[in-house]
Amino acid sequence: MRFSRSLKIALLSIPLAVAPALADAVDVETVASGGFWMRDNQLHDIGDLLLFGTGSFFDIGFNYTPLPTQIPLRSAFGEHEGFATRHHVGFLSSYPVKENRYLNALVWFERSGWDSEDYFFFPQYSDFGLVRSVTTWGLGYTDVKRGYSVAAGMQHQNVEFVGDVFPAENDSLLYSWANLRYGRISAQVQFHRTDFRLLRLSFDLEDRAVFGGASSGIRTYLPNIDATLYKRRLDGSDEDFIRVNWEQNLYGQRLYAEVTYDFPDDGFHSAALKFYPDPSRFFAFEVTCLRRRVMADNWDDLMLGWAVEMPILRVGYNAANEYDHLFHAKGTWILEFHFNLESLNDMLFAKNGRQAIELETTQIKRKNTPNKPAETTPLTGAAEGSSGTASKTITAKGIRYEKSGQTSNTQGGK
Amino acid sequence: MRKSVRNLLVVAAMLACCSVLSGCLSHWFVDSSTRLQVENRTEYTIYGIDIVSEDGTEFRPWILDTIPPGTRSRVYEEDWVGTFRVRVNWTHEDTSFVELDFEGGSQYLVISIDDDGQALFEFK
Repeated sequence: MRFSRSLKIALLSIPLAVAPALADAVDVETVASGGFWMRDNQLHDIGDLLLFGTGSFFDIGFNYTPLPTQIPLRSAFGEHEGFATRHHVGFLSSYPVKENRYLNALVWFERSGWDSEDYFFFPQYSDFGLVRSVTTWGLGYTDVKRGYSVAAGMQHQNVEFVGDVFPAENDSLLYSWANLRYGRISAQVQFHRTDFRLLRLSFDLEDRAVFGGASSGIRTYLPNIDATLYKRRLDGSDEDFIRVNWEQNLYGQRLYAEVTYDFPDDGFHSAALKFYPDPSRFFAFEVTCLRRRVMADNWDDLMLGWAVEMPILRVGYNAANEYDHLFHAKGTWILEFHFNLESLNDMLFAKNGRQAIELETTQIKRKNTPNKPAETTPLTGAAEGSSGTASKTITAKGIRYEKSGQTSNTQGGK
Repeated sequence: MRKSVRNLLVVAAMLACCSVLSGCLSHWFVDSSTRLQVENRTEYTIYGIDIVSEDGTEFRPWILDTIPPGTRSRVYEEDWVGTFRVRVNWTHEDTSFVELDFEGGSQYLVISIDDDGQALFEFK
């Protein structure tokens, strides 16, 4: 206990000590384009969750960078001290309407940006800040027997504040999305008004115990591949590209490799080796390699990073996930306080977990307890075995009445 | 099980408190704006101080006063905290540029000329 406590203190104090020396600024352009990746990230998460569509999911988290020198902003004028922030919450719920048929409701919310002061609810909106949020909601229908699900909804992007140094942004953008799944193959589309924006095809072929598949064997080594066609405009011209993501189980659903590749021009984007001590994915150790592209300087390099994920806390240093989703922040430890939980039937597991976590059940044995099982206790107070009218009994799983002493005491627990 | 859940709730409550207060707490020891006052210890009149972009194509005025020799400007508060390029407009030469690190809070900048005729910028 003492060791784990000192470990926690050490973990928290290290970023405080080294952050200022290693800080790298985030660019105005990456903060300005953050909304694009925020919307994509939410849809990607939703696509993963609709693979089952019969359970529920909850996810909350916020990045914590305690020092203003940790993630400064680089604008045309120089380096501004301040805070990059990102808060998110996600919720999916399923409701059975008939046997094997479910309705789903989901809401995802994320608020992120950069400001001179850190905040949780009320930003300062300084001259050089940018704060925006994206809300995605939707409704779905899942038929377990036929193995398909349909979901659709809207996505709202709201710009709360744009500082002087950022390009002018449209302050309210409305998108629609739809997700269609048959078996393990899903398609996802996104539109801005009538303009097509995104098409994602996902093949989640790996067998997962949480979906009723195998927990070991050759079928768990099948790949999960998704390919996304992004349609976007950069500097007034079309910059369409396809991003392919390959996730591969390497050993017993505990060791995974992930590769992301951009077609046709950009090539290798990132690779990761992830180790989950338990397939329920509450803990993770990641080593990532990401190709940075700095177009202005016409060079690119490979950046190695790592991250450790635990329930409640994630710590990352130059990890691909933080780089991609926190405005290309790097060169500093980034903490994220988070919690996520998926529940499906009686199983609990973390986001994208492959197997349920094994919960430990402790049975407390009391003194003077008769050494025989007493799952069913007559409520009438009559002694066991006595004749007479049939006594009412309740058989309840999970509730245990325990007798004490010789008298038949029916007050459970006394 | 029940104890671990309780511990988890305590930790979650503590985190929630920290997170709600995080912005407020940092304001106690971190300034997100600079209140700048400039003293002119040269023999030339300064008629404005700006922040200029690194490529020289944009500028934002900061000190709007004319500061005669031996006097000081009024205090102007702006959101400049970090490292920026400062331009001094004066009668000494066309303009002077210097890169200065603004820590935020109340800062008093003294501009003087050394023996070699170079402009000196010091925070006092």
